[in-house]
Amino acid sequence: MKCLGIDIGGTFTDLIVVDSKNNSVILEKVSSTPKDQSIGVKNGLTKLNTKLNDLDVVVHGTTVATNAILEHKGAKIALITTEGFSDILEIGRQNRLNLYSLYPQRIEPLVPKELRFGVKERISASGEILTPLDLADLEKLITTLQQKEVESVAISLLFSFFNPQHEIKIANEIKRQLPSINISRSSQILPLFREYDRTSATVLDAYVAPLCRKYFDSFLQRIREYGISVPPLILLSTGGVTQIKNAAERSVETILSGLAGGVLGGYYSCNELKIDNALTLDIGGTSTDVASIVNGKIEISNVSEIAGYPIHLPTIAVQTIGAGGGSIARYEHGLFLVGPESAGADPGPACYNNGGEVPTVTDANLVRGLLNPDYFCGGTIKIYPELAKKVIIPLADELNFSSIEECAAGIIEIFENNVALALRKVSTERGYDSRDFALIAFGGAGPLHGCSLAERLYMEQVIIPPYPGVWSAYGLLTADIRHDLSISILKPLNKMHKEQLEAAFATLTRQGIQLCLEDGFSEKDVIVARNLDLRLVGQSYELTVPFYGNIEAISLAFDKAHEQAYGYASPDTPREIVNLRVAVMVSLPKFELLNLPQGEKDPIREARTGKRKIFLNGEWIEARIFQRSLLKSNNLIYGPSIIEQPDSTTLIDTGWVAEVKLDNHLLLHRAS
Amino acid sequence: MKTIKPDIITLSIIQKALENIAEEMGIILRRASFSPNCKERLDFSCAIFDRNAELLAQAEHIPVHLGAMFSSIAAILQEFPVEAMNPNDIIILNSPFTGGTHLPDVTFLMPVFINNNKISFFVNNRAHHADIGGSTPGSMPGISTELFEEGLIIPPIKLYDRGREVKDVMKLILSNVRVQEERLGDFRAQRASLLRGQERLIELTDKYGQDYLFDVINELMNLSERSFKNRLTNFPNGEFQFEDYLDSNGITDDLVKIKVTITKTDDKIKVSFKGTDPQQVGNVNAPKSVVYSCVYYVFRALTDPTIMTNAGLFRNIEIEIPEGSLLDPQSPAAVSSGNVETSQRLVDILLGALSKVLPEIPAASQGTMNNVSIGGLDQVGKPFTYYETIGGGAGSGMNYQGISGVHSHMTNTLNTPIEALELTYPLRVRRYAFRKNSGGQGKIIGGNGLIREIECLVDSVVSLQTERRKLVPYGLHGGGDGAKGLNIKRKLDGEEIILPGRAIINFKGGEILVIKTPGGGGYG
Repeated sequence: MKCLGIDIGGTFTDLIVVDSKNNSVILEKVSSTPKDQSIGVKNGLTKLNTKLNDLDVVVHGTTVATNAILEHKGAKIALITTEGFSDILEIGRQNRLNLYSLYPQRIEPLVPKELRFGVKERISASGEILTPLDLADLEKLITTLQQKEVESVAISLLFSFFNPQHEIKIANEIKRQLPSINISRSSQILPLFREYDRTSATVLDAYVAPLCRKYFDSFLQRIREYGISVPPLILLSTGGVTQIKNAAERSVETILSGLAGGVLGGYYSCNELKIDNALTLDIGGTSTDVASIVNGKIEISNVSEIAGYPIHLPTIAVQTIGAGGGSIARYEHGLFLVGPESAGADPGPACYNNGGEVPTVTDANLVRGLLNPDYFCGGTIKIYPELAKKVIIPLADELNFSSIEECAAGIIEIFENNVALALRKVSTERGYDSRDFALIAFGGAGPLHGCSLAERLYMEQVIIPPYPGVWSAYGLLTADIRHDLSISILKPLNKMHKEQLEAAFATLTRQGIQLCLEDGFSEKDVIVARNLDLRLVGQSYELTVPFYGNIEAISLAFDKAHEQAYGYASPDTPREIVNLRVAVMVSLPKFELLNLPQGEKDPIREARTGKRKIFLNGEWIEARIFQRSLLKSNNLIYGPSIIEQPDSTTLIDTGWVAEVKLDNHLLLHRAS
Repeated sequence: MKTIKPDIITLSIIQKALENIAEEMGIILRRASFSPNCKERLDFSCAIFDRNAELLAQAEHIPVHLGAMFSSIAAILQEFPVEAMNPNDIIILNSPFTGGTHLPDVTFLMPVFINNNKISFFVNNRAHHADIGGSTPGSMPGISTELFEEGLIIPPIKLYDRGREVKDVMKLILSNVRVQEERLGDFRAQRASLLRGQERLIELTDKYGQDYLFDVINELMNLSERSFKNRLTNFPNGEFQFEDYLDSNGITDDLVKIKVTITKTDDKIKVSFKGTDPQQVGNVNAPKSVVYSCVYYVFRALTDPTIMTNAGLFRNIEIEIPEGSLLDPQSPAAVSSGNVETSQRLVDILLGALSKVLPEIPAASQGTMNNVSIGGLDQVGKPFTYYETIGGGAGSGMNYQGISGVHSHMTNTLNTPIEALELTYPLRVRRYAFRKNSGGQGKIIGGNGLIREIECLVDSVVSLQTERRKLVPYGLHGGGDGAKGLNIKRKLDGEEIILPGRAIINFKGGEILVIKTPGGGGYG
C-alpha cells in the first residue's frame, strides 16, 4: 500500500509518502503559497522526487475555503431570502462584539445590502405555504442577478427545512437561465431550524464554492502532471474524507479541514496504543489546538464558528487558543501575560534573527536550554540564544526576576497554564475526569510541554507520535470516507413512534449511501451511525445521543448525557427531538507504521549524542540528549532527558520515563 | 502570614483561574436553563466573592449586571447574616429593596465552606426568568404602580438547607408563577452552576492553601485599583453637569428629569445625582444597584475594559444618590422598567456630561431596550409568554459610524430566532429589517433602528416598556438627533393606531404589532 498525504498549513505545506511494501516513509516540507496553493503542492511533489504513478491513495487537506473567509476574498455573491427578511444576515443576533466599547462593532456581512434580495413567498412554522412564490418577482430578480454579475447565489427562506419547495423552484429557475452561477440552497446545506445560523452556513458555502472548485481543478491538474491518476480524497471538517467531486458540491464542509488532520493523527495514535480516552494537543507556532477522544471516538460538535460566522455543521470539536511558540510575553495591569498576540512566522521569535524584538515562548525555551541552537528544524533554521536573552532581560528587570532563566521559566509557566485551561475546557468542563485520559502531544512544540501539562491535569500518560511535527499530514492518511446528513424534527419524544423515526433515518441514510456510491464504494462497505439531538422541552441547547431503536432507551441515554453535561438529570420533564443526524462511513484500508528494530532497555551508545544544562523546576540540571532516529524498541529513557529529531524536541521531565514502543511511539509515564 | 507580596506568576495564574471559574459557572447556567432570557439572550451573570463579600471575579454578558451584584451583596448579608449559613445552603432573593434589581432577576447565593467550619467564599448568580408572577405574563408590566403587581417578592430566604431543597418554599414560589416546570428547570440550572463554582474553588484552595490565596486575592484587587487610577489621570479635572429626561413616569405623560454632576479630582471621581426627580408613581424607578452598574459601565468603557473586574476596580468612584429619588426608590415602589429603560437614559446622561471635555464620546444611541412581552392562551389553551428586547441605532462618534440594529450600552441580549419564536408561540413575524433614514444627520450619520412586525395568531395581551418615543436620542457637536421610536397596532382592516411608549394593550388574533426602534445620533 502506498499513500500520499498533502497537508497545507498557514506556513508550510507538508507532504508524506508511506510505502508499506518497501517499508519507507518520506517527509517533505515546503513553503505554502497562499495565492495559489497548488503551486506549493507542485513544489512539494517536485521535491519529493519519488515515483508517484503507483499510489493507492491520495488524501489532501486544504485551507482554501478557510483563507477565503478569513481574508474576505470569496466570490461575489447574492442572497435570496423571504421578503421582509433580507437584513437578517447583517442584523445577526443584534448583539455587538465588544461589550465595553462606546463604538459597537459587529461582523461584516459577506453579502452587502445591495446584493440581498427578498422574494414574495412564505412558509409557515408547520411547513404549509402561506404565500405562494411570486414567479414574476423571481423573474425580475434573475435579471438583476445577471446585471450585477454575481458568481454565486445563496438561497435561504424561512422554514425551508420543513418545506423546501420554494427554494428548489428558485434554484431550478436560476440554474435554467444562468447555468454558470453557483447555487447554494439552505434546505440542502443545513436543513435545520434557526434562520440566521442556516443562512450563515449557506452564505459561507456560496462564498467559497467558486474558489474551491477552481482550486480543486488546478490541484487535479497539478497532480496529474506527476503521473498521479488515483482520484484524490479531500479532508472535511468532520475528519472524514470524500471524493473531490463531492467536496466541490459542498465546499462549506471543508472550512475546518485544516484543523482535522491533527486530531486524526492523535486518534490514530490512540488506536495504535489501544487507548480509549485521550486529549490531543497540537502546539504550533501561533496557536494550539486541543480536542478530546472519549470512549474511542473523536468528539464531534454541531456548533462552531469561523471568524465570528456561525457554522452549525458537524465538525471535529477542536478548541483553538492563541498560544504557540511565537506567543508574546508582556506585562499589563500588574499581571504577566503570554499571548494571544504572536510574533508569527514573520518576524518570528527574537532568536530567529529576523527582526523579532519581543520575548516569545520559543525564546524562553531556548534560554532554558531545551532547544538545540544547532539542530532546530534539523539544523535548517539557525537560532541564537544571545538574541533570546537580549529580549528577555528587560522583561526580567521590569518584573524583578532574580535571573533571566527565572523569567524564561515564568513565561513558560504562564503559557502552559493557558494551554492547561484549554485542555480543561475539553475535559473537566465537559464533565470528564482528566485523570482517566492520556495526553497525545505533537506539533513542533507539543512534545516539549507534554510532561508538564500532564502534571497540571493529573494525567498519567503522555504519548509522543513518531513524527510529531508532521503528525497532521500523517493524520490525513488515516481518514475514512464520511458524510453527515441531518434534518430538523422538533417533536415531543413521547409522541414519536419508533417506526416514524426509522423511516426518517432511512431517508437520510439513503442519501448518504448515494454519496458513498458516488465516492466509488459499494453499499455493503457502508457503516451507518444514527444520532438524535434532544433537549428538555423549553431548553435551547441540544444533547446528542445515539438512536437505540426504542424510545425508552433514548430517553435514558438522554438523562445520562444531561447528568454528565450539567450535573443533574430531569427524568420527569418532557423532552423533544430536535434533529436527526446520520453519519455514513466507509472504512479505508490503512497502512501500518514501520516497526523499529528490537533493542535493550538502555539505548545504544550512538543514540546518546551528549548532554547539556537545562533549567527545569527552578534549577539548572544536566540532561542527557538522545537522537530519536537511533532509538530502538524497548529502550527506556529516564528524565531529565531530551530527545531530538528534525521536526520536534521531546522533554522527559525528572521523575518521568519514556518507553520506546515497537511502532516508534514514545509512551511517557512517571518512573515508579 | 506566608508572604506579603505574592509572586507575579502566581498572581497571573490565580487571576486566570478565578475568571475561568466564573465563566464555567456561566456556561453551565446558560446551557441547562429554560428561560429564553438566559439561554438565548444571556441575561444572567455569575460571580465569586471572598469571605468579606468583596467581588473577586465576575462573568457577565450584559453590562447592567456589572455592578448589580457586588453593590447588593451587602444588602443581602444584612438581611441574612453569615452566622445563619451552613455548608450547601442556597439563599435566593429578587426583592429590589434587599439586593435585587427587578423581580424577574432571581439571585442565588451560596456560601463556600472550606473544611466545613468557616465561609471562605461566596458563589452567586443572577438570571432573568421568563416569568415570576404578577399582573402580566413575563412580569414586566408596561404600567405598574406598586411592586406587588410586578410579581412574587422574594426576600433573602433559604431554598436549599444544607443541600436539601426546602420543599415548602419551592412550592410557594412555584404556585405564584405561570409556567412551573420552566421555573423549576431554571432553578436547577442556577443551582448546578453554583455547585460547579464551589467545586472549582475548593480545588483552587487545595492547591494554594487558603491564607496564601487570600493574600493573592487582596493583591489582585490592589492591582485593579492601581490600573484604574492610572488611566483616570488622563482625564481633565473639573465639574461636569448634564440632564435629560425619560418620556414618562410610567403612568402619565410627565417627563422625568435625571441630573448628574461629575466631579473629577486627580485620581478620584465623584458622581452625584442631586437634582434628579423624586421617586415616581410608575415603574421607571431604578434601584441603587442599577445606578451603580451604569456608572461603572461608563467608566469601564472610558478607561480600559481589560482591567480585571473585582472590588478594587471601582474603589475610587464615589456615588451620591438622593434618598427617596427616582434612583433610590423606597418600598413598595414599582421598578420593573428601571433596570431596562432608566438605565439606558443614565448612560446617555453620564456620557453627555463628559462629552463636553472628551470629544471621543459618541452621540446618543437609541436609549431604550424596546421591551415587548406578549402573552395569552395558545390554540390549545396553554398559557404562553414571549418577552424580547429589540436593538436600534448606535450613535456616531469622532471617527466612528454608528452601526444599525444593534443593542447598545447596558444590554447586549440576542434576538430570538424567528423560527424558534414561531415554533414556540402563536405568533408570526411579518418583517424584521433595518429602519431606513432613522439615524441622525451630520458629518457622520447615526446608525439606523430596526422594524419588527409581529402578528398575534390568537387574542393576546401586549405589554410595552419603550423609551425615546417622545424625546429623541441626541446628536453631538452639530450632528442631528436620531429618529424617535414608534409603536403601532395594525388592525385587521389595515388601519394603524399609534400606541404609547408604555402600555398594556389587547390584540385580537390577526392584528399586528409594529415596533420601529429609534436611530442613533449623528456627529459633527
